[in-house]
Order: sequence, then structure tokens, then C-alpha cells
Amino acid sequence: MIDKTWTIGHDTVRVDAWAKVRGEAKYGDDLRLDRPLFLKAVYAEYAHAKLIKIHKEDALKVDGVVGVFDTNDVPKEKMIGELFVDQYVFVDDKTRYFGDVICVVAGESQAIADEASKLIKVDYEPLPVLTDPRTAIGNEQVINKNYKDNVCGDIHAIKGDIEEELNNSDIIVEDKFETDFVEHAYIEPECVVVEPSLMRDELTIYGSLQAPYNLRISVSRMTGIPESQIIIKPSNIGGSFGGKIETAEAMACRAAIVANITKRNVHYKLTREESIRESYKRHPIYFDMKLGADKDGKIKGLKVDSINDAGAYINMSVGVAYKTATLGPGPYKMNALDYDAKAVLTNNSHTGSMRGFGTPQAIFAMENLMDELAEKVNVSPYEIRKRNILHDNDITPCGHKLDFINVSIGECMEKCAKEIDYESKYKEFKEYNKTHKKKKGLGIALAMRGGSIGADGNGFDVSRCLIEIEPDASVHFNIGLVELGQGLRTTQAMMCAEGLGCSLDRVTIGETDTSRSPVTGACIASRGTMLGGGAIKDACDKIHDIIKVALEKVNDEEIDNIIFENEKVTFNGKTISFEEAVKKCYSINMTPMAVGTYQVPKTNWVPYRGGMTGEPFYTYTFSCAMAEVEVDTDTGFTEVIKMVDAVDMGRAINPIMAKGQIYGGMVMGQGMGLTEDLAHNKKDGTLKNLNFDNYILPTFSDVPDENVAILNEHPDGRSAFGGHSLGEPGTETSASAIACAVNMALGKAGCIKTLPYDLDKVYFACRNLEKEGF
Amino acid sequence: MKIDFTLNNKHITLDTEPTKRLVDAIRDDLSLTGTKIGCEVGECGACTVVIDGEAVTSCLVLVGQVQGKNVLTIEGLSELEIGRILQKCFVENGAVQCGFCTPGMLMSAYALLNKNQNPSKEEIKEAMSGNLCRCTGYVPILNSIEKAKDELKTLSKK
Repeated sequence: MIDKTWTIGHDTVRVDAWAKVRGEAKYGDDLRLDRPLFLKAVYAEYAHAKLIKIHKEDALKVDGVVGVFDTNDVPKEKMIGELFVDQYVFVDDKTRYFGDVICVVAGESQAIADEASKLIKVDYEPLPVLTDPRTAIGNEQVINKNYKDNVCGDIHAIKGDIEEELNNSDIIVEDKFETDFVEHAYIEPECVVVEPSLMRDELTIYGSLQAPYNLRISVSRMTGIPESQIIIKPSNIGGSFGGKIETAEAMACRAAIVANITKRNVHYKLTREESIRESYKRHPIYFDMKLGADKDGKIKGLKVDSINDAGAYINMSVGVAYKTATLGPGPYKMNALDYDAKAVLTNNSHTGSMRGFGTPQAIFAMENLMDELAEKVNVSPYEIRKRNILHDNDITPCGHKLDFINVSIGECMEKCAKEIDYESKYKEFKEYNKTHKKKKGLGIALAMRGGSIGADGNGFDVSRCLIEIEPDASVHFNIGLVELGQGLRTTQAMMCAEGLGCSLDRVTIGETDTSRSPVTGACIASRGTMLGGGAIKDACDKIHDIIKVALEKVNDEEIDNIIFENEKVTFNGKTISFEEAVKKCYSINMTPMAVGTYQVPKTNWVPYRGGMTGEPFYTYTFSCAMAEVEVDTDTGFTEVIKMVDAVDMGRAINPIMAKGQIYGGMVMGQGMGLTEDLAHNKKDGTLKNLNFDNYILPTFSDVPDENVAILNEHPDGRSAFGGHSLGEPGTETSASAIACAVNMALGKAGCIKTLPYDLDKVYFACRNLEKEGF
Repeated sequence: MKIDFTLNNKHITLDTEPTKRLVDAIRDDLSLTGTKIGCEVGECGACTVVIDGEAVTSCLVLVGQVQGKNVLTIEGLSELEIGRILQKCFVENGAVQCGFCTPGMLMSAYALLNKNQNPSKEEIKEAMSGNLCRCTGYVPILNSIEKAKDELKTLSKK
């Protein structure tokens, strides 16, 4: 057990909980601005086609239609993008996927805009459609002329000499795996609302906006309005999971352009079908793997070629490839690694950040391969992992010496095994399956997750905040890292109280507002606690310095050492209250207010043998998930009996919400593992399952109430308040644990090679196994 | 057309198109935005309200159908004992994350506990299976409803 402080480590009610249970919390679509215009988009009819002409006349004749806006209405830059600027908010020369927007109709009501949008006719000249990234590489059809071979990114993580290690291996395991598109499926569809100022060229933008500062840059580039006059105030956000960045940003840009031209408020929301059609997805990734080990199953080297389907726009695909290549090898010891991760443009939905960011797919491939290795060595999946996991001071697959952190992966594994009773159940199920048609399985998946963005963000992995202590010793605190539902604002308020040395009830955390919080990056990469914590600590230290100087002046004495702790300020053998210290500061008109800045230190990630090697991240989270399933081999139906997930998030600032991340993550993984399928059409790049009647999320009835979330805490000395990544570790392992469990039930490691393991796939796998005497 | 019904324990007359969806009447005509819209096909449960004691997805009901009926939305829940207990248990047991599914979850849970003060785990799961949540993994919500059930039991014994 880790000691609690007066704030950290206590289950704390989230700051927004009561507003949410009373239905008072406002989300984008709940805003009611004065006489807004409502927008409706017209989508591309072909995934790849030259745009010839838009016929707007009939729509414009409709009573109540104010205008139809397209690419010609964008005054400045026409494209957006966080890392690569390549996404058109309106189709310009050609359509690139089915979710591209040709134009928007603005009407006095949503019904008017909806009806008028049906009257827009568009002339196209269809082009061949690329839907498979493997054949898109080097195809004569080029999606983006800047990437002639359609390859938009290639990350190559290398350690040692892979050929030598594979040549010297006793056992070689080779296999191929694939994953499919996954929808974020936040329950709130995207909505943005724009309010133009009548005083100056100023726009205030509300809604489901995960990355306000990135949006501000885009709107500024598109409209020519300076960043200071674009004010982003994200509303309560109804779930995001990485999904409310580029799509919401493109929407906000369209709405901002309409608002700027018409000087009217604009309300722009998507239906669920539009949301699934337009929004970016989790990457499908294709893996070709080769692993070499000695006769005891100790890994010598791993070689992987992977290709992610970037879809129509680059979005985060290169960053995703980075995490696939650097974290895909898992928390295992190996002498050599050669992991290539390519990102390839196609005419499918573009793919971007989604909780896990290229690792849930890679873990699925790696953990299946580990089970295949176990089968060859004739030991249990647990034993093979035990023989290969990293320990303190070991060197990671990429070449990072872990001499600064508790390498707790073994502990995470042991805690899960105990909770799920692995050893005895494993033997029991093996016997049971010999005589039963409903078969049981256990699966394990391990992960190590890099904290924050990593070395591909060297230099811009930064956050800032503003803390001000008021004369009555209440604290106002503003930070631009957005609450997405995960409980970050509560965690940040707790860290602020901890850092200042005051009680939590003094701290008011302001709503995120780019005009009130200093510029900070987006709330992404499971970095809110570590990055926000760093900035908070910096601001608190600066405020402590101000108060110290004030006390020296007021008391006319020098202070060597001053301690702020739990409402008390101690210096020179005296203790005064926090409130008194603040009052003394104001008594001589000094201001206890500071901006805090934190930047993740640069790491040593260097070129090596045509790729990169070294320290891909500053710090790591270790986690293990185990799943128990029962597979009905007659129907292909998989029931999840129990899931356990142990995560070492460093420090659980607010344990109840930390567990919430793990419970939620496990179930998101269950969906990816078993049911979630967008029914992607390989002929034309469309998606068939555009709503929750066909895109099947796990429900209350599908989820085991025996699920257990384990907090395996070891405070991280590299993070200001000891906490590091949790959101993504909570979800990256569970789909794989379920997959491995199903394969154990089927009696063959790595049996099913593509996610999801839905009814059809498991059913046909059973029929094939029957031919082999299953 | 004038539609008379009871909303959150108050009798109201709403002059609107009877073919309008109930969820739109609630959110737009009555400005009660606690009832959310997530899928519009009755799958996600974010728009759940309680009509004459039954949890119903208000995107699949026309406002004309509630003529003479008793409609409860999240805004009326705080005025009911079971509602207040449920809200408190949701807040204290980590059942709330993004909060978008929360009003619908609470309405389904209210309808259940109002009919059956001692539901089994399976009965809770069945009653709640029309409400999707992408954040919590359901377990904290299940625990919250069980806690609320226990508090109700204690109250009824007093």
C-alpha cells in the first residue's frame, strides 16, 4: 500500500458528478444560442472521384435556407491537420473517402437544412478506389500527390542484429495477423456551436472539442483571424477516446467559416450515421511476424513487418506507426528487434488516434505469437511469459535501460493470475475441453506503454497551466487539458491542492477556455496526469517562492526552508495557516499567481542500421490483462466469464476514477475482441454498419460483473505527483487476452488470425478444426 | 395540437405537432436538455425517460402518444426519493464518467427500482441492457444500483 497524503490516494467525488446526475451538465447540442443557423453536410457519393460541379440552385430556393458553403468559401488555407496538414474540410479537387464533405447547407432550422441538402446535386468523375493498403503501396492510383507510392510514414525500430539472432535460434515462430476498423463509439455524437462577436472578428467555439489549441490554429489559418480572437470553450464532452480531434475540428472550421460570413450563431451536430461515416477510426493493421527463441523458449529476436491503413488522410497514422513499432514488441527481453511499421494511404475512412494508438492491434499479434511459442516449447502461456518478461535494470526491445522505474510487469501478472486462479483453472480447462462441446479458455496479454507522446514528439510534449490564489485563500486554477469524462479535472484539482499544500475544497478548476488558460497541447496520449501534473508542480513551486519572499519582507527575516503541507506553512521554527500566509502576501500587494510549464525531457532516440534505436519514451506503464471465456463450438458464441486487469499507473491520484479507467478499458477491449465490425466494403470503401443496431457494442448483459480492476502502484520518480499513463493501458490488452482465451478454448494457439472474433469467425474456425479431428 | 400530460409531477399543456418525437419536444419545446440523443434508433438508451412507470427511449415515441400520461425526465428525478438515492449512489461509486449516458441510465434504474425494490443482479443487468455506456465498463453502474437497492431496503425497515 502506498501512503495517502491529505489529498492524493483518497477516493474523491468528481467535480462534475452532481451536474451530470441531475442532467444539468451542458454538452454541445444542449447549448441554446440566439437564433442559430443549423448546418447539414452533403457527403461524397464516391470514395475517390474528381469533383466536377456542385448544383446548389434548388437548395438555395428553399425558404429558410441562408446559404450553401463549399471550398470556395474558405478564405485562406483549405486544409487542416495536427501533424500533417492534408485534410480538406470541404472537398476541393477530388473526394478521397466516403466521409468527405462536399458542402454544407445553412438553414433557419435543422429540418430546413436537412431537406434542402437533399436537393444538392453533384457531378463527379469517378476514379479507381484503393481499399487495401497492401496493394495501395506503389499503386498507379495516387491518393495524395506528395506521397507517390501512397506510403505516408515508415517507422523502423531496431536493436541488435536480427538476422544473426534468428539464425542462431532453436525455434522459429512465424505468423500473420490482421485487425479491422474500430469505431470510438462515444455515446455523444459530435456537435460544435460557433458564436461570432459583433465587436470584432472574433469567434467563440463550443462543443465536443478534445484539442482546443490545435483547433484554434486551424481556424486561424482558414479564416485569417488571429489566434487571440478565436476562443475555444469545450463543452462537457460525451466521451472521446481520442476521437474528437480531427473530425470535430473539421466541423468547427466549417461552422466558423459560415459564422464568419453570415455573422450568425451556428449550431452543427452530426447524427450517429453521419458521425460513423465521417469520423476517423482505429487503424486496421496487417502484421507479418517472425520470432526466434532458444530451446527453452527465451526470445532471441523479433522481426515484424506491419502496415497500417491510414485511409484518406494521414491524420495520426505516422504517430500510430511509431507506437506500433516501439511498443508492439511488448515487455519482453530480446537481443534483437527489427520492427517496421508503415502507414499507407487508401480511400477508406481515415484512421487516427483511438485509445491505444496502434498498440491494441500489435499486442493482439504479439500475444498470439507468444502463445504459439509456448505451444512449441510445451509450456503454459503463463510460463512462457514468465521466462521472457523484463525486470528492473533490463533493457527493453528498443534498447532502453530500465534503471529508473519499477519494472512491475511480473507483479501485474502474478496479481492477475491469483485473482483469476490461473494455475488451477488452466489445467482444469485443458481436461474439461477434451470432453465438452462448450469449451473454456484463459488468455493473457501483457503490455508496456510509453508515457505521453514519446521521442517522435521530442520538444513539443509540453503543457502549461495558470494558478492564482485569491485574497481569501481560495484558489482559481485553469488548464487547457480537457476533461473527456476520464475524471482529469478532479485529478488536476487534487494535484493542485497537493502542490500548493492546501485543502482540495479551496480549489476551483475553471472550465477550459483558451482565452483564460495558457496554450497547452491536447489531452491525448494518456498524458493528462503526468503532463498536467508537471505544469501544476511548476506553478505551485513558483507561488511558494512568491509567498516566501512576501513572508521574508513582512517578517523582516530570511527564510531558508519553507514547507507547505496540508493547510500549514512552516518556516524558521514557526507554523502559520495557509490562509495567513496568503493574507501576508497580499498585505504588501504581492500576487501569488503563476504560470506553470512542463516539458517532457528529450530522450535518446537515435539512428541505427537504417532505423532508430534507444529510448523511445521517457517512462512506462506496465499492465497485464487476463480473460476467462467459454466458447460454444456449435454456434461460435463466446461468453466472457471474467476479466482481470492490473495496471501500474505509478500513482493512482484518485483511485476510484483510476479503477474506472480500467473497468471501462476492459469492456472497450471486449468489443474490439468479439463484436465490433464496421462492415467495411473492400470494393468501394464504404462502411455498412453506421449505427448501433449493427455496430455491436458490449451491453450490460455481455459484461461479466466479476470483472476486477487492480491498481498496482509504484510512484514514478519521473512524474511530479508519481502518476503516469493509465487511460490507454486500461484498454490495450483486453481484446488480446480474450482472443488468446478463445484460441486456448479452441485448442490451438494463434488459431484465429483476424479481429474481431465474432460469431462467424469462431463458428467457421470450429468447423475447420473439426476436419482436423477437433 | 394541444397535448396535455404530466411532466415531472406538473400538469402541462404543450402546443406542438403531435408527430414530433418526444425527445425533440422535451429538448426543444420544453428546453429540458438533460435527456440526450445518441443514436435515434432506440439502441443507445441515452434518451430514456419514464412514461407511466416504464423506461422508454423517447426517440421512438411521438409526443402525441403521451397525451394524458405521466412523463418523468432526469430533471424530475431529484424530487423523488428513489431518484435522489440513485443519484447519490452513482456519484459516490464511480458510475459517472463522461456523463452522457448517465441520465438515461438513471431513468432505467429508477423504473426498475420503482417496480422492484429488490432486484437480483441478473434482473438489474437485464433492465439496464438497453442503455449503452462506453466509459465505465458497466461494473461501477451495477455496483451503484446495488448500493441504492441496499439503501432503499434500510429505509423501508426504519
